[in-house]
Amino acid sequence: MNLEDRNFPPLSSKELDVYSWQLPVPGHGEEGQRKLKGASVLISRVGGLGSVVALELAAAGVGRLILAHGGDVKPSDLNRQLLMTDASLGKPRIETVEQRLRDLNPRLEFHCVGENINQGNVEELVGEADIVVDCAPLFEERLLLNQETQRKKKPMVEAAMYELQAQLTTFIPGQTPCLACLTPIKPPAWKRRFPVFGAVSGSVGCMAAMEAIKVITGMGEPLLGRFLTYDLRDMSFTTLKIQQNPDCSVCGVSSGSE
Amino acid sequence: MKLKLEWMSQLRVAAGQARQSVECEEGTRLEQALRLALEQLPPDRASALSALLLDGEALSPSLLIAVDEIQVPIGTDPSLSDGATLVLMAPIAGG
Ligand SMILES: [Zn+2]
Repeated sequence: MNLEDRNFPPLSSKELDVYSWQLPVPGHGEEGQRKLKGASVLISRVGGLGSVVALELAAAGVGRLILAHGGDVKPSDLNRQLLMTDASLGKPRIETVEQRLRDLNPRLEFHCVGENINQGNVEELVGEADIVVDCAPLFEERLLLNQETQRKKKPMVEAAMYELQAQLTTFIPGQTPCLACLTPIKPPAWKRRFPVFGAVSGSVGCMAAMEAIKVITGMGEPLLGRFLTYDLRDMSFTTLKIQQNPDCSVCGVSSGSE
Repeated sequence: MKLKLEWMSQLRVAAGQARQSVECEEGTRLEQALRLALEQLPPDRASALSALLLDGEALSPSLLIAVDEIQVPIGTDPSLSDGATLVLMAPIAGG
């Protein structure tokens, strides 16, 4: 991610105070914090997974969040969508999300969209972002976002969960495989309604936020070409080495993307 | 020789178990090892798994398969060594 040529905004004395417990993290410091402040992150859906990503990035001091999520808050959201509240039942999810995040970090800038990623908004929303975190429950949305991030050469953190299991990887165009390398077509077996505990989506949400922070600041080693999968039922964690599919219709040599 | 197999995501639920070990002949290839693994399971488990693993007769292109933690390219059928660990995963998108 090329933030190098950008002038990062300075930190106010309030910000130095708020982030004083993370500034001493090796590899971060004031420079890393200014990069976070200067960064825009698109989170596609702020449900079970994206709520926690947004909360962690807002807490960490990312400057601008672009959030896309349609629909109103339902009772069945409340076991995992941690930005929704009982008091907000029946109200638009995106309004509740924005309010909760403002309460935490009033310095945040927002572009909140009350609809999910679709053909009509994907170009604009990805265009505004430095990095994307993919948290949508449907492959249609994920594959659309993948196509656009590859086209615009933007990094995308790919996080997903199912039952007590979760997975995480980070795609950087030209350096790693893309989502279509792994999942070339929408898998027919995937159902919109999936079994989920909030603690599982929350666990991978925290890790996805950390991946975004690492890509933005340059700290540590993101999961590039590595695919983390884990099962909280028996606490087994596995990291697989993944590779680009040369025949991938989105990033492969025959796709004309290079 | 002996192989270890780990089912992930929906495959783990369909198999009713996370791990399975498969006895097979030296040089057995991936697809044959999977057939042997399915034969070891009760028919209802095997058929639930086959529905997720197969696209017609072939393995689904959306499966993530790894041998000893390295992804096997789609459409290849490598021969396996004694003690190899296979990881099989169907794609998930829970958000
Ligand atoms: Zn690709």
